[in-house]
Amino acid sequence: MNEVIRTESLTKKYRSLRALDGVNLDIREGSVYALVGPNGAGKTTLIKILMNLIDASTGRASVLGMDSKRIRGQAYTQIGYVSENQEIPEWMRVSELLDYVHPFYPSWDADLENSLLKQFDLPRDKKIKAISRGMKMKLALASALAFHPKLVVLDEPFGGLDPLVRDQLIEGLLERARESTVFLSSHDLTEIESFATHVGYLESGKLSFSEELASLRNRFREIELTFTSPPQLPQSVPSSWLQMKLASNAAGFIETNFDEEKTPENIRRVFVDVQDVSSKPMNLRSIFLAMARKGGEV
Amino acid sequence: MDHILHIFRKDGRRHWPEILASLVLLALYAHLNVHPWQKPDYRSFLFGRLFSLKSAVTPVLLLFWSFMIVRVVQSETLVGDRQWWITKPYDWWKLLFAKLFFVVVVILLPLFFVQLYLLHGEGFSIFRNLGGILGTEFALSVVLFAPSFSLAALSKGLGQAFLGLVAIFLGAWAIYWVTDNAPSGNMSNFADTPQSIQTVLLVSAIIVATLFQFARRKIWSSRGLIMGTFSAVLLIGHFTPYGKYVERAYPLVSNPPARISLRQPNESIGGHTPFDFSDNISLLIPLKVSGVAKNSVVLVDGMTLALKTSDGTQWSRGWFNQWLQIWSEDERESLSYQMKRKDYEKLKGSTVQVQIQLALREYREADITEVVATGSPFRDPRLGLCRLGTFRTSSVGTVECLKPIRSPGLMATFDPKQAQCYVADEDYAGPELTPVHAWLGPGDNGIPDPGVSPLQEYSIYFSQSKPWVPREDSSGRSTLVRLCSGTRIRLARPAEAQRFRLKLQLDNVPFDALVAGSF
Repeated sequence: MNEVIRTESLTKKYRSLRALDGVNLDIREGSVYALVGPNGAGKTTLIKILMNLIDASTGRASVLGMDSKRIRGQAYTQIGYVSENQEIPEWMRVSELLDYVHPFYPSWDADLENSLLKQFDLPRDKKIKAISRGMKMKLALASALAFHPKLVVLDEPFGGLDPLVRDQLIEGLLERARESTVFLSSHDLTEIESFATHVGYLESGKLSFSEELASLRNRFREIELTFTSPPQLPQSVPSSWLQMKLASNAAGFIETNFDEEKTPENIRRVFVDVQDVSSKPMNLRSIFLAMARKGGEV
Repeated sequence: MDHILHIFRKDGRRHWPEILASLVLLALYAHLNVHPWQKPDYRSFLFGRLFSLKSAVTPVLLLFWSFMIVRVVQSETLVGDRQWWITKPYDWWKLLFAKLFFVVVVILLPLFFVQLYLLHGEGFSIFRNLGGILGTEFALSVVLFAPSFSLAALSKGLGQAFLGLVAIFLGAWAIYWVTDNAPSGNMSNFADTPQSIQTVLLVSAIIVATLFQFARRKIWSSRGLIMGTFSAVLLIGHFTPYGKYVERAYPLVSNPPARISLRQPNESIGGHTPFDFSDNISLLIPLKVSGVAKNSVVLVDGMTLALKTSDGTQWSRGWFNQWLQIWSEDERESLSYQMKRKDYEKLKGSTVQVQIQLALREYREADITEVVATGSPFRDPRLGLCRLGTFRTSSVGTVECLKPIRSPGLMATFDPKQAQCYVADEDYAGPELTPVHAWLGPGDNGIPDPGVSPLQEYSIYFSQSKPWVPREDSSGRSTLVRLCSGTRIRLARPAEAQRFRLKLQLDNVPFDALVAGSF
């Protein structure tokens, strides 16, 4: 599979602030890649560089095999981009916007446009300024999907939307995910978990990790240990153990590098008198909370 | 082309109120300007009698067009990174052409038809003036529409565009101020090469910055280009040796076509005490003139002045613009020069040696024709459509004319002995009556004037040093010579014969007698 997005040591500085700090990223064709991280982590900056809306200070980025600095004009016939901050021409009606944008795309699919309008419950004749924020996001997504883009880029698409609208957006996206690569940024971890195939974590401009979601889930485990007597805090523990807690006859931590065989062995080496070891899979939210507390490095 | 029309149609739908307002204003303009001599001048209720509707409609129209261009270009704002359209497959040049197409279709095309209508309304040939009309539209596009377009491309929203407009006015003022305060900068219009460079630089920067902004949307690079060019223009304005340009253009000659010398000042002209509050003191330098050929006029374009007192105090400044015409009948003239008060204070009460240099041009009559002024409007191929002026404050008379595209350069003369038109009841033609002249500078430098109207409204002012003829009965009353119906006017194209420079000197001049007053 080809890389649809690739960045090499991408850095963006705003005077003394490093919004991006040497980001290396590879996104494979067909994946649904979620870039997550706290507000101000640099997610929007990264997307804007990829879309050639702003320049990187150093480093390189390519999108669909093109240097991102050359993305303009006809390159956008293959990219559907939606951002929560976009200034849509609000003086138009919903149908006028779609009719206007349609001739720019040779691959525009009128049937798909109609089905997206129906799926998103978009009122054709309403002025855009009169519809809700959620409706505007759905309209922007419909206009970004109706031409079968190779790449869909979404910057915080779910921010501030009610659950019903979010579900509609995700449903619409998933239906198109078969033919497109999807790259989105969000801090809404619950939604992402349901459909992302890959995930990257960006904090303070640095990409802490970037991997398949399934592998991430396999890697992280909440470990609980039971003892017959109160355990002693060991002098040193493996670096992959986070948030070690001790109780009267129990202990717990988060293993960031879980292995069915090796992890119990390591535990018994550290806690010789451990009676029972149990492990629980973690959801994405718990994983990121744990990482955020540690400072991102895993 | 499809995308260009597609964007154009969208702009048409979006901006129909502005388009409608533009067409209404243009129709009003056409209504007020067709047959301008046959209708009263409407007065606006809003401004009372201060401004006429006719004089207000042109600036309003121009301002509105600028506003509309800013609005239309900013429909796809080129500043910022949150606009919806910038991640859509727009080709930048198609977007640019769509906006240019809007200006052509919504502004230039209706204006073109209005211009044809106005020309036809005054009985001028449409086909003969098509090139001129296109020239004025091109000039209007360069002078007004291109900067408006650029302003829109380099700003986000009307607020920023307004700030940009303020910056343009401040910049223009800065260029004017720096140039005017440079040595001999008062005659900067005679330094053709630096002025051409400045104009080319500014126009190029406006065009290149706009193109660059459309193509790359690098706002600070585009604005930087404009600012850098403006700084270069400012530096050229400040450091150009204007005096050298004047001296090169006006060589010293040994046998000038006019005899000009300095004469001692007359107390009736000079000898005034300037107001205490004025910073600039006006000096009047009296001249004795003669020797100008009958079919010629000598123009004084500029003057330097140097004053030296017996105790060694010296004062001099560079070249200063003058607008004096010397005709064959003229004998005594004077030139005006301004001095700072602090310099005046140093020199007042002293006797000075006056040294001046004059930059002069001689024009001779060419292609001479004659026209007879009539009571009703009359036509002449050189003048256009004319009528005798109603401007009552003129000493001798005016002819008001309408001419397509550009007013002519003109040397016009009439002989009051033959005119026989006087304001007084009892006519009197004294033997001292001499020909009365009018001068219109040949402004034809090949570049059309920007403007909305295809008709240039201009006046030929006839003036004479002695328009008042004393009565023989010594009653002390005078009779005013006037231009009137039946007067034969001699018309000629001014052909430049030569440019030359004179150096004059006069000793023992009481400085205070040179002071004409203050501004």
